[in-house]
Amino acid sequence: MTSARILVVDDEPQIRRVMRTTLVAQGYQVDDARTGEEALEKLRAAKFDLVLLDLNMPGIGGLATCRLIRDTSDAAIVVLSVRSSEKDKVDALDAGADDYVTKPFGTPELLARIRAALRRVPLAGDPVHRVIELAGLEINLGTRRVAKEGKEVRLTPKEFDLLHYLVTNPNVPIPHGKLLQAVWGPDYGQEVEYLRVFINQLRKKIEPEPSKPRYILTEPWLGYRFVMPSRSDLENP
Amino acid sequence: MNAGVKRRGEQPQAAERHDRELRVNVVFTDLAETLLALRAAARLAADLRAHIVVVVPQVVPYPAPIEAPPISTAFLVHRFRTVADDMAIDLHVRVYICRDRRTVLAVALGPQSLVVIAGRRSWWPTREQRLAAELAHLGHDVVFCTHEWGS
Repeated sequence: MTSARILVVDDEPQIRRVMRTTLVAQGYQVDDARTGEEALEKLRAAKFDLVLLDLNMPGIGGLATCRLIRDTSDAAIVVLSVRSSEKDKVDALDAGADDYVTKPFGTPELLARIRAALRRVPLAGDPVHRVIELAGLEINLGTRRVAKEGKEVRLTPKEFDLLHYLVTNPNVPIPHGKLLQAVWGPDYGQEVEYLRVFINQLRKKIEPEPSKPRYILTEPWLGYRFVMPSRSDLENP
Repeated sequence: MNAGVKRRGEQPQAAERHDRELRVNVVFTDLAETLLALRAAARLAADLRAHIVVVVPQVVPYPAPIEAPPISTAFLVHRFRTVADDMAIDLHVRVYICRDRRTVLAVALGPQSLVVIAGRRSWWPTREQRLAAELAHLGHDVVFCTHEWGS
């Protein structure tokens, strides 16, 4: 299992030290920052799964930092603060925090809240953040970007969701109904023509030759199959 | 624009802008069925970030002059605008006054267009089923929806 990366943001060196020791002992990878500015810089440079954020900090402050992190990152944010009023909690949660822990807190409670927050976010090393590289085609499942021959291809959210489902279930025929329900939801299942339109659009965007698809193949009377070439196929096309 | 085919219903600039984007073409058959097709097209257009164009071939029979269609173009456009407002969808209506529906569809639809047609499905192909089959044969991506479709 991938160990989560946690960024501790607090201006108190003692707290940073205690947090680091505690979290490293639990198997997490830990980095720290003294200010909001430093935290944002570290988040730009590396991917973190969770941010432990103090509210009372010099500089841009905890709430503003929280908002800025949420604008650019999907990391879970757990706010740590001595402020215990309802308004402070609501402000922090509205600013994008996932949880709010009032100081002083017990270590078991904090660790439990970290585990709970991490359950809700995919880890940076998980397959969901994989970049799939095929001949002339690159699919970044984390950033939801697709490039064909080095040029970015614009997919609509539904087109990407469909492609995502296909590439994460490669080389197996997926029935129409299953694809429709996975991408559009449980109310769908019979709209085969609707699905065909999206498959055709995807082929036009990602296939080298849409009329002779190489990746998204039709399984007659059943559904579709995404062909993931083996490493040797990619090396000797 | 071919001889004998006149397009009316929207400003040229808007038409040119939309020609560059993906469009979902709804071919007018009759009012009730076209409304059904519009609902399906609206869902498709939302998910594909496309816009909807209703293609209305208005056939003028030969004895009558082509300049004088039996139904006013403005009336047809207004009727669809009202429907679109009620359904809260953004669409363009293109009315083609013509002698023959097939000719006008060849002009109105670009190659490999996305087309939505609604109609009744029957073991003996209905007029709409035949039209959908013809368009699919010409290479268009045709969605044929019936009253059961996505209801």
